[in-house]
Amino acid sequence: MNATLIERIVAVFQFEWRRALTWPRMTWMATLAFFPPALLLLMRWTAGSFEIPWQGAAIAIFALAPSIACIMAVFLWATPSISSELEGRSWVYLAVRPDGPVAVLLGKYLAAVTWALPVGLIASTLSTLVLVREQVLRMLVVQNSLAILSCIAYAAVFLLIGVIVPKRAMVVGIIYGILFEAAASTIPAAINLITIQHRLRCLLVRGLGFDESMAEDNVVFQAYFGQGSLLWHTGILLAMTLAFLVIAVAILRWREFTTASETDT
Amino acid sequence: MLLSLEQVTRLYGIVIGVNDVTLTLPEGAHGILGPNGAGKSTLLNLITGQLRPSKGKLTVLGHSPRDPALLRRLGYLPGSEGMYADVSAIEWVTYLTQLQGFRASDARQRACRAMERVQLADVQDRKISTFSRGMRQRTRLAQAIAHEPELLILDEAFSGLDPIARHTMTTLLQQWIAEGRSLLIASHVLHEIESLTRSFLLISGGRLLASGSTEEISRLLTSVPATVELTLNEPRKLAAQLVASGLIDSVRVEADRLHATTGSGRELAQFLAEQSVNGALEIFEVRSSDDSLQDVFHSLMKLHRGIA
Amino acid sequence: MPIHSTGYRPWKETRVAPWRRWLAITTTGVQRAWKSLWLKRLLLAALFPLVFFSIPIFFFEQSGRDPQSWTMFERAMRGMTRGTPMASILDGVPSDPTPEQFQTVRHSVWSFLLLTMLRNTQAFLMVILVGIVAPPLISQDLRTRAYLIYFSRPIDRWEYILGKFGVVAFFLLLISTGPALLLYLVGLLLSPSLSVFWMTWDLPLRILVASACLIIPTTLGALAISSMTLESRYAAFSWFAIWLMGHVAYSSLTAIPTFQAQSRREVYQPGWELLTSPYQILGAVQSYVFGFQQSNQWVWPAILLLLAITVGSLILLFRRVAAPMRA
Repeated sequence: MNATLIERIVAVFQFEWRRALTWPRMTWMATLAFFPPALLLLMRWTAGSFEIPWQGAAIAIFALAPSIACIMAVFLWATPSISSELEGRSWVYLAVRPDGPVAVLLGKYLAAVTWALPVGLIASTLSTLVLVREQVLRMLVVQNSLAILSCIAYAAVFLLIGVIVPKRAMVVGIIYGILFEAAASTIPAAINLITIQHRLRCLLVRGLGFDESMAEDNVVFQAYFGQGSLLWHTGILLAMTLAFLVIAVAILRWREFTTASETDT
Repeated sequence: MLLSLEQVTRLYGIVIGVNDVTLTLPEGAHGILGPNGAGKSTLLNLITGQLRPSKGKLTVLGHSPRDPALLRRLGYLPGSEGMYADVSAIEWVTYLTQLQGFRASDARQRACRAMERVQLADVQDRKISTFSRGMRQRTRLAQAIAHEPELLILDEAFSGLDPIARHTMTTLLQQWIAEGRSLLIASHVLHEIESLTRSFLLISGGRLLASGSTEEISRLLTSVPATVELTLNEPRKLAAQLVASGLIDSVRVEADRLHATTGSGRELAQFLAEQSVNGALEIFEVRSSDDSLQDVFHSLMKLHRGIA
Repeated sequence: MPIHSTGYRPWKETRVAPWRRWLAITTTGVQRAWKSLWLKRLLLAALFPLVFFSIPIFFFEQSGRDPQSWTMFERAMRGMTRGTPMASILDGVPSDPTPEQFQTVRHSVWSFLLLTMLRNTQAFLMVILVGIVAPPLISQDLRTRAYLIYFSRPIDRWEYILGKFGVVAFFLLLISTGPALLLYLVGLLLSPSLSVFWMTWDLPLRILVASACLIIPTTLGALAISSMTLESRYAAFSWFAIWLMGHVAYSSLTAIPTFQAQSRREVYQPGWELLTSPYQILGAVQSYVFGFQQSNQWVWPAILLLLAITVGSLILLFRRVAAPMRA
């Protein structure tokens, strides 16, 4: 008996990956991956002679690929991590293993991220190729980097939501996404500093070298630019991710889940 | 020392799951017997660390229940099924053995040995969804023993099994005990546990009513007034004889039935046998309150509350 | 009599009529869902828009005898009517309308406020509520094999489906039809005289039709999704994903034409783009029911699409509900 915690996490990750190789799951992932480029292609076709400005294209690609596609992909995976085991009454088998709950949580987190990454990368790459004509390589690098960070960070926050409220994880996750990430992140105040969306937007404008004068008269754009460098925002995002994971693990160690726990959703 | 509980209580809000239980158990095989809702599963959840006691202290094999060092030495077969229907049996058992702390190849070997032991080696690659109830139960046992724990805890291990599957399960567990390992088995069916161990804990209403061997519990019960029901040809005549003999505490006659309570069960049985042999009475049916487990608990609860 | 010779004794009392059997499924489903605290909070939240929309109705009705109320009414409506046909209707009314002008716009104002409440606030709550109630309704029965218990009773598939439909429809009635009818009633009570009813008597009927357009396809669609999987969380995800992706598709496709129209100081009227979003499809049909969007050529495709969703969901439901028993 000599497997470390990391090896056990890897065992969970491999097991969950194998279980997830089903047609319905892969169909959903493909839908999420090709939805953004398909939509952008349609947008270009309906735009006719209208030239989509480069910065506008960047925002459209960011909104669809690293944001919507990645968020939905990790949401499907990460949010029901605990509730699926409780609902299926399989949690007890995992909980009586030494550090079983922690290994399961982090293994599922890894599985969620690695399943969502291809979705985000395909969506970002194809969307860029569809919509962008100049500085394509720069756009590809930035959008794909944002897709990676988005998957990593959002998987952590949805995992945490799933640990805190396993019974209503999906609904709370939706409300979090709409009220907090979509709405609060556009408010140019302290509240947006604690959203993942704000950090990603700041990385977008800094990474692509947006003209900061856009924010001078536009309150919404002020929220996009914020303060701090690329390294600063990336560091904050990774620190937030780590914090979410640590809190999730701590709650899991402290909470009691019994075979009587069952979700309705 | 296998298990030590000191005034352990577990509350679910205002509902008492386990109520002020104090006991110590040496290593070996023990049965936890109790009717449905007695608190057996709560007790097992406390022992396996799924729940924390609201009050009191407990140790298992010298460790706190949530200690990873304990979980390495413990195997658990819970009351609920909860298996992944879309994976094969060997894959599931291997996965759980890996979670136990074994590397992949080692875990696979152990899982295969466990599947052989539960006589499922030839079907181990089939999906669990294709298994019968008995096969699923044996697969669940395999995951509990694959890592060769020192203590095996089973919650309603025989639930839903047909007689052949029960026999197979009993044989497996008897082999387990013969290897010198410890076993804690919870059930509401007396004869399931009797075939495995002579040491019992009787639980009802969250309380530990009695513990010990069957002989010790029988001796305890003989001091508790038992109710006897007789169907016979002349109940009134017998009632008069019983009152005169002083063997009963109370008697009631209804049609052809006689109900009596007695604290001298053995002597009463002897008296009735003599009367029947002499031809003085025709007794068609005798029922004792000890015939059903529920009545045993009922008697013990009376004793516990000081009513008997 | 010995117990072994008693035998089976059939029920001699009166049974309920067969056509009422589905109600047992509905009432049980409603009782189960009702235990959710979140659901109760949602139902309470569904009443708040009632207060909000009562205010412009009150000011409108008062402006018939108090010109200052018209100013308050215009202020209350300003944000709501921007970019809608209602804006041009109100633009044609002076700040001190004559009784005839007032009567002319009354029906439109009431229709618009009822439609806005149904379309905006109640539609959002509807998505959340159906996402809470519908996903486990059939998926849990499939996962736990409860369908074996259902169909060992003398009920047909249509009764089962109708019973499940009733659960979702009940709550949707509580958050959409109920508040809308209440708003109409409140409007009547806040009017100078109840004779306003004779000018707006058709609105409750339009509310019922608009509610039916909302409830029937969305409920059947949600139940069809629930029947496709054994895991209710995937059904919930699919439900929310369809609405979100539809909204994103519509917003993206109309972004450029809207921008172009704004630079010409015009309002862009979406065409085929509204067919990409379930919310816009429902909105177009409901607008048509309330007398708006009469000239929009894409309303009838939206109606056909709703019909297709209804029929398709029903077919899928019938097949999926019988599938475990065919296996």
